[in-house]
Amino acid sequence: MVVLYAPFGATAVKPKQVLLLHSFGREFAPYNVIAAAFRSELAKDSGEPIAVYDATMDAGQASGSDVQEPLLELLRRRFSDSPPDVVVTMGPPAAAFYPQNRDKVFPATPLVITGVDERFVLKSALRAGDAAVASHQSLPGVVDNILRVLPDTQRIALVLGNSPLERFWAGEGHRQFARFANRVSIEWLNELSLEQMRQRVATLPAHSAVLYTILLTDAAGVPQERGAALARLSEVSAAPIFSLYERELPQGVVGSSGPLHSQQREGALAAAAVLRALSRENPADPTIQIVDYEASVYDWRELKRWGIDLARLPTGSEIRFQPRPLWDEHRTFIITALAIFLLQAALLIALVWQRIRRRRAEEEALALSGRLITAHEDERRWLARELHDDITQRLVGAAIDAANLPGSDQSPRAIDARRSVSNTLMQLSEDIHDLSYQLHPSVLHDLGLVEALRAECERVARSEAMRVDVAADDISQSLPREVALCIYRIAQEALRNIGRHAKASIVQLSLGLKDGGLLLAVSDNGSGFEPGLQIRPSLGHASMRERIRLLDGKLDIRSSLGGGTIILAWVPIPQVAA
Amino acid sequence: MSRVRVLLADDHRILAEGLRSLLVPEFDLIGVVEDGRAMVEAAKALKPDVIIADISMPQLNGIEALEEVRKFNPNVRVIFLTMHRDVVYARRALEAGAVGFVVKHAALDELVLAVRAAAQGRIFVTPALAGEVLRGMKHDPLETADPVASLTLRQREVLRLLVDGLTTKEIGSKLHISARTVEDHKYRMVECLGVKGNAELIHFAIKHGIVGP
Repeated sequence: MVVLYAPFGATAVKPKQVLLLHSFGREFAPYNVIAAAFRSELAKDSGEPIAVYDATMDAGQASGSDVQEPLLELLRRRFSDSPPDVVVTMGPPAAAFYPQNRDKVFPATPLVITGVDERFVLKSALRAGDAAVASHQSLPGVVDNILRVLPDTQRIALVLGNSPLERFWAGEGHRQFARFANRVSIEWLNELSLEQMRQRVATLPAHSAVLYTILLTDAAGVPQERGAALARLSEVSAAPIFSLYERELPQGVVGSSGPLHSQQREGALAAAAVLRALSRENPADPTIQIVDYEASVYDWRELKRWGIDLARLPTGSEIRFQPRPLWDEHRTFIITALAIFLLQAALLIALVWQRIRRRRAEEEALALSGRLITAHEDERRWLARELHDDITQRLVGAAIDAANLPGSDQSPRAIDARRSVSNTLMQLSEDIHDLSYQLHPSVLHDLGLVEALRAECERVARSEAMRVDVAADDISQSLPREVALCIYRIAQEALRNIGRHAKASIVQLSLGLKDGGLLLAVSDNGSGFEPGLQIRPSLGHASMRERIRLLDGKLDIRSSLGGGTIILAWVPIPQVAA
Repeated sequence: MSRVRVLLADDHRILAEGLRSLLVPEFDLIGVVEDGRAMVEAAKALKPDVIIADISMPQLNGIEALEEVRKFNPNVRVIFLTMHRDVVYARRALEAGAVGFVVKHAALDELVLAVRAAAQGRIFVTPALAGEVLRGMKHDPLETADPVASLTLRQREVLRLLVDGLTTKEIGSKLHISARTVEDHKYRMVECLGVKGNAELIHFAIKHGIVGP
C-alpha cells in the first residue's frame, strides 16, 4: 500500500521540495519522534518555505523491489514536473530500499538517511552530497546500565518482535550479549506473541527486569503499535521495565536506560543535513553523523515502586516526575493560608483580650459602685449617729436646763422667756433628730427590719395621704445589717416612687422568707407604666437594682399602664457558719 | 408615803444631768447607768420602783434590757424615754411590757407625770402618740380561719410560681397545663380569698408563707 501526502499550496510559489520516505508510516513509533523533530527544526531554521512530502513504504508487510515498484511509479508521477530537491529516508527499511532504487526515480537528488543505526547505513551506496544522521544503539550498554541500577538482577526478559529487521537485532543481540553469559541470563521473547509475552512478564521471578526494545511485528505476525503494546505489558509486569526511549517514560517504564541517543536530536541533525543539501553545502564526501549519547532518564515513581536506590543511577541521570516538596508546589497557597490564619488568630486574640479587659473594667466599675453605695451608707450612718447620739441629746439637755435655770427670776415674763428658749431648743433637737433619721434609720437597729418598715410606711401614709398596709411577720432570724438595710432602702425607694409618680390610694407591703432569703413585695393601685416605654431610666430603679446586685439578689418590677406596679425584691440571707 | 425610787438608764450624760434636775425634786434617784447591761445589773441590785430607760443604748438596748429584767422581776415598771416619735417604738415598748413611753422632747412636761403614773400602776404614753398606738393595737387581726387551707395544692403551686416572677404562659408550661387553666386558678384564688388581682395574691402568698422559707 502506498500513501502520498500533498501539502496545500505547494505549487503556487514553487518552494523547495523535500520527499520524506517513511519505512512504516508517519505516526509509527519511535520514528515519529524523529520525524516530528525533523519537521519542526526544518521549518524553524530554513529561510524559505519548504514543502515536505510524505511517502510510506509498507515495510511491515513485505519487502523486495517488485512489491515496492508501484511506490516508485507513484513517486515518479508525483514529481514529473521537477524532482524533489532532497530525499530523506526514515527508518532502516527505507534506508535499505531507497539507495538501491534511487536511480529509477531521482538519480540526481541528494539523499539524507536518518532513523537508523549506523550499522544499517550502506556506505557504498552514498554519493557526493549525500548525508546520514544515524545512531549507535549499544544493547550491551543498556544491559550494563540495568545491572548497575539493579545489581541483584539475575534475569532480563528482552521484548523483541519477529520481523526481518527485528531478527537482525536478535542476531546482533545474541552476539553482543555473549559477555553477560556468567552474569545474567537473557531471556529472548521474540518467539512469543504479545499475549504470550504478557503472560511471561507477569510471572517473572524475583530479581528480573524487562527490556523493551523493538516490537514491530510479534511472533504471531501481528503488527504492534509500540505504545499500546508497552502499556499492555507494563500493566501486568512483575518486574521493572526498561525502555530505549525517554518518550515512553510515563507509560510505566522505570527508565530509558542509557547509553542512548536523543531522537529529538537525531531529527534536528537530519533537518540540518537537509538544509545543507538544499544549499549544496554538503561536502563531496558523504558524511555519516552519529548522534551523541544522552544522559539516562528515569521515572521517580517507578524507582520508588521497585525500591531502586537513587544513588545507584549513573551520574548525570535525569529524574522525572519527582513530586516537588509540598512547599515548592503550594508555596503561594501555604503562605496565603498561613497569613490568613495568623491574621485571624491575631484578631481572635485581640478580641479575647479586649473582652477580658472590658469584663475587668466592668467588674471594677461594679465593685466601685458597690463600694460607693457602702461608703455612702457608712457615711450617712456615722453622721446620723453623731447627730442623734450627741447633738440632739445635748439640745434636749440644754432645753431642760433652760427651763429650770436655778435661782433665776420667777416673774411670768422670765418664765415665758425661759420656756421659749427651751421650746426652741427642743424643736431644734427634733428637727435634727428627723434629719438624722432621714440619713439613717436608727429604728433598723433598735427594733429590727419589720418595725423599721412599719415606721416608714406610717410616715409615708401620713405625708402622702395613702393607705399603706403592711403585712410582715416578725423575722425571728437575726438579719445581717446589709441585708436589712438593702430591703429597707428598696422599700423606701419604692414608697418614694409611689408617692411621687403613681397617684395611688392604696399601697401594700409584704415581707416574708423565701428560698433562704428575704422577699419584699411593694405594690400600688396607681397609674403604673409600660415597662418597655419608660423613656428615661428611673434613677430609683437603677439604685434598687444596684443594691440588689451587690447582695446577689433578684429584683422584679412588674407594671402595666393603669394596672399599678408591683416590685418584688429578694435578697439571700448569708448562712453564718455555725 | 415614801418617795418613789427611780433608776435612770441613759447613755448621754448631759441629758442625764438635765433629767436629774427634773426628777430629784419629787423622786428618789437611786442610780444612773449608761448602758443596757448596767441597767439589768442595777435593777437586780437596787430593786428600783421605776426605771426610766432610753431605747438606743450600747450593749443591750432598752427593750432588750427590759426583757432581761422581766426574767427575774416580771412586774418591773419601765418607762421608755426616747428621741423617737415613731409609734412603732411606742408599740414595741408596750408590747415588751413597758408602762410608759415618753419622747425626750416632751420630757419637761411629761416625764414626771409618767413616773407618777407608773408608781401608781398606770400606763402613760406621750399623748401625741397615744391615739396611734391604740389604733395599731386594735388593728391586730383575729384570724378566724386559715385562708391558706381554702386553697388547693395546684392553686398554691400557681401562686408560688407567680411570686417567682413567671408569666401565666410560663406557669402553664411548667405545670403542664394551659395558660387558660392558670388564669382560671388565679381567678378562683382571687374569688376565694377576697383579694384583688395579682399583686394582692402575691402579698397574700408572702404573708402566709406560701412562698416557703
